[in-house]
Amino acid sequence: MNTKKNETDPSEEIKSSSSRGWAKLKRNKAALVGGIFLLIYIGCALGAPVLFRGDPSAPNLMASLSPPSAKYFLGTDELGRSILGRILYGSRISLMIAVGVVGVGLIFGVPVGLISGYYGGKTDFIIQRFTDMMLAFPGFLLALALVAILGVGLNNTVISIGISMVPLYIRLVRGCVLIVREEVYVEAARAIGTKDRHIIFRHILPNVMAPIIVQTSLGMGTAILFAAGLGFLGIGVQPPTPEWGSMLGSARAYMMGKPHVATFPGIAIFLAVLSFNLLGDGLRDAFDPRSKI
Amino acid sequence: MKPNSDPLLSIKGLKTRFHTHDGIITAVDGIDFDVFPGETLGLVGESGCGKSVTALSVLRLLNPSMTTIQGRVEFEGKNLLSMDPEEMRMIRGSAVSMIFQEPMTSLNPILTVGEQIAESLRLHEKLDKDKAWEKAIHMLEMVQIPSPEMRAGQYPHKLSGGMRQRVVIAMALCCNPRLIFADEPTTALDVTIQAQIIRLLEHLKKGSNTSIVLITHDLGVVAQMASRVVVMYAGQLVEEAPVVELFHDARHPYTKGLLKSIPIITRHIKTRLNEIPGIVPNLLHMPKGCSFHPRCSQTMDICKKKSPPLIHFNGNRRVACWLASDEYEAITDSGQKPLADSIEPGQGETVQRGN
Amino acid sequence: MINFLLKRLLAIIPVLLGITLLLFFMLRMLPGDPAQVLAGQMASPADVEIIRVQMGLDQPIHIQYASFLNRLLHLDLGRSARTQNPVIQEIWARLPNTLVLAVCAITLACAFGIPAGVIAAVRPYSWVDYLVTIASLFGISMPVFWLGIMLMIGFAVILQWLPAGGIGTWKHLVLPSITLASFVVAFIARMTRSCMLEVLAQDYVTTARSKGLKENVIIIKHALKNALIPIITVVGLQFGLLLGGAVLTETVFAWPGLGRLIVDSILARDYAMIQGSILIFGLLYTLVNLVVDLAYAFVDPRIRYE
Repeated sequence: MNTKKNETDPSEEIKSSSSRGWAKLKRNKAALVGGIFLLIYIGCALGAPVLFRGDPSAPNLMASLSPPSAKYFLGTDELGRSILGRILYGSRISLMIAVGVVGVGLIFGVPVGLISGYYGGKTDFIIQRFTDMMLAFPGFLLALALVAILGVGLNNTVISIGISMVPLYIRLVRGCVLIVREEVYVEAARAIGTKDRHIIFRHILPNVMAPIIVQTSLGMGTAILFAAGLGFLGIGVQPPTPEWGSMLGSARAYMMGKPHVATFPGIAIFLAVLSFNLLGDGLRDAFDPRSKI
Repeated sequence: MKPNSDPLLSIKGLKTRFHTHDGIITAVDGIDFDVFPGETLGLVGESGCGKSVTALSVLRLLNPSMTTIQGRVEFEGKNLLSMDPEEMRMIRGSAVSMIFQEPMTSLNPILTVGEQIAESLRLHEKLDKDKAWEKAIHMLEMVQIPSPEMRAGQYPHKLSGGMRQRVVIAMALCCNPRLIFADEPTTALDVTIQAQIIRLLEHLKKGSNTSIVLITHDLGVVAQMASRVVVMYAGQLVEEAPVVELFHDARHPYTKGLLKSIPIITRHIKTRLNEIPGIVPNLLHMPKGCSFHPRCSQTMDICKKKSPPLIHFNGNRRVACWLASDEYEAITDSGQKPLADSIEPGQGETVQRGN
Repeated sequence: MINFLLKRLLAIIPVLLGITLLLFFMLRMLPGDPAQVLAGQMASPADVEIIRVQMGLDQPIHIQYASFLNRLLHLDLGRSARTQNPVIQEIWARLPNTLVLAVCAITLACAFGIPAGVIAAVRPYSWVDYLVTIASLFGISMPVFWLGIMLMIGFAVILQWLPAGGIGTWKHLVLPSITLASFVVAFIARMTRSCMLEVLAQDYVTTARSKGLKENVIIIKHALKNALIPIITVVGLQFGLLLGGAVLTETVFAWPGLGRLIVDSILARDYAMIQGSILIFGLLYTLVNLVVDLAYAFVDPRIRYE
């Protein structure tokens, strides 16, 4: 084809979908706020020993249930421990849980979803029935049931919530794979004899990344909420480990007279989850706008 | 010959701009044309030239928060653009209506076909439920849908593309509009169905004084149905002529290019298809001067610098090209009567586009 | 549509079986002797043996499963180690309370969430839209139990307008319903907004406008009716998830429902009870999903008339 030279200037070049996505994300103020909150959160988690001296779990009954003051910024709990200190150290716990849960979900969910979606047939059928079974329970309830079996504590919390997230990842990944699998370039790759493994990693996985990333960000928020819920009920992370949910749980008894003990851990949970949601929303708008999650 | 009556629709200086994150897109850049009662006007151009946007602008169907529209659109004497929104709403569907391109998505999937026609009738013609339903069935009959009573109670997914388009036509006609914008009414259909729909439209037009603005990129359809043609390129009007004159004596290089690229079956198979080289300009980065010059085989120096004015000649023809004004100037030099009747100053300035 | 219904009903059967299988093995995954586990820590060795025979725990595993299913069909879920009452009795006493709470919450959530979402979609970027968006974001980020506690502090302790917990009059229902509804209303508002935005961008809405129909008619008859199809699915799903969230809300407000029963049972290691109540929850959730699918088929004419 003979094209006459068009006077194009460099700013006319077609941007790739990912660079347009980044530009869109940067424009999204809410996502930016979420990102900043998230950085603060990670900062607290990493810098807790620096920001707060001393052992956050060491009791000091003399100062029990003091309201916020100059000495104890957020007051103390029923054992006289600084709530600020416990919240800072609690951010480590919740971040660990969030990363752990999402890690479990990704490690088990993504490969299974890829295989189920790509190979189809009997494998897919069995995997789907299994996923159906797991999804027959509301998420939190499934985590609850798993805790009932596995027992309490930090590790079991991560495993239980993580397992309850796996079917979501499987479904998500499989759904995407089913769509991408039908694309012409995949058909073409198969036609020239490309190995399956190569197709999956080189062609399918990159196109499935966007919803996975969105789900990961939102999933971290959900993980924190679930963990806090379990902690609140007394069957999650056990005291004296400073987990925000269990802090709320033990604060219930003192609610009448000393509401500050219950207020601040809740705000911490709220802000952490909010930051993941803001970021996740922004990511979704920028990279995966047709998503249904 | 220019029709003798007053225009039904008179578009003057219509400019439609979209505000996007990437900049301001001028989809329609100052066009004027008239539509006379009872005529079929072809509005021709490639995808993205602004022809659909023109129709949507006239009917004010564009999203007001993202769009600015300037100019005057006079319909039966009143300016539609400055009208009260309620008044405008009453005109839509009754005096002016529109047929859309995609029959598969233009109908509401959860309402029956009959109801979608009947609701217009109840609103504009003030018919009661039963009479409106009867008339809806009658309309389905008019657009040659078999078993209209049964079809009226069906949902759109039960109908084929061609039948759905007939329903859309029925919806557009049911309140006897004076003007219809038909936006690519056959593009989304099979070729054989296309022919049926064209014939239907011609049949329906016979004996009524309805004007049709037929928006299309298909010159064959234009040749069959239109009496006059207006050609658009990159948001601007580049040529206007009665249909026969357009086909035999096009003046604008773009129009000539379009006509040349129609493949002719009887021609020798070994020749390549003709094409207009290059691509349509990015509306955010329009070329300086005449917007067509990068693709034009007859570009002159002035084309690269200044946008050509619209030149009137022969009483009912217009063209936006320096070549035509060249003729004009050449003739005046030798003292003869100028070819052009007038030059419209509007498009003569170089307009700054983009952000 | 009949085909669709049959298919859905058939698809449920493996899920139901799967639930029973999951729960059957749940008991056997615990460390120790299942009979001991079922009998509870307080039981004497004689009691444990009785349980072993009663539950057929000395039989081969497939016979155990068969008898488990058999017992299920007879509504025999065993006996609570904590209260010594039949599990099914305890569940039956509390299930209505949870359902009442859940229905109230979902009704509240729809009554506020759907209109909010519609208004936000119809006036994008207005102050209403921003308000709805922000409120929704807050709603889904807030821990439900914390909100419950805050509301309790505010309305029951400080203002003393409403009781702090328990069950009895409609006043007792207010705070738990609002708490439980908070997450859901936010979600429904967001979903409604995005579904409406998607629908409003469709060609048939432009067609409706070109016919000169009133804006209200376009929004409700043309847009919302279409958007409701996916919204109903979401609402149904949320109802199911509500059942999970009820666990926390019931604990905060000492609401005597199924959720609280599960928590108490887990804390007391009352495994027959845990198994039974989770089974019922799973059943309920599956049923709700089925009803949602049926509603979906009914509302969407493309499926109804196929």
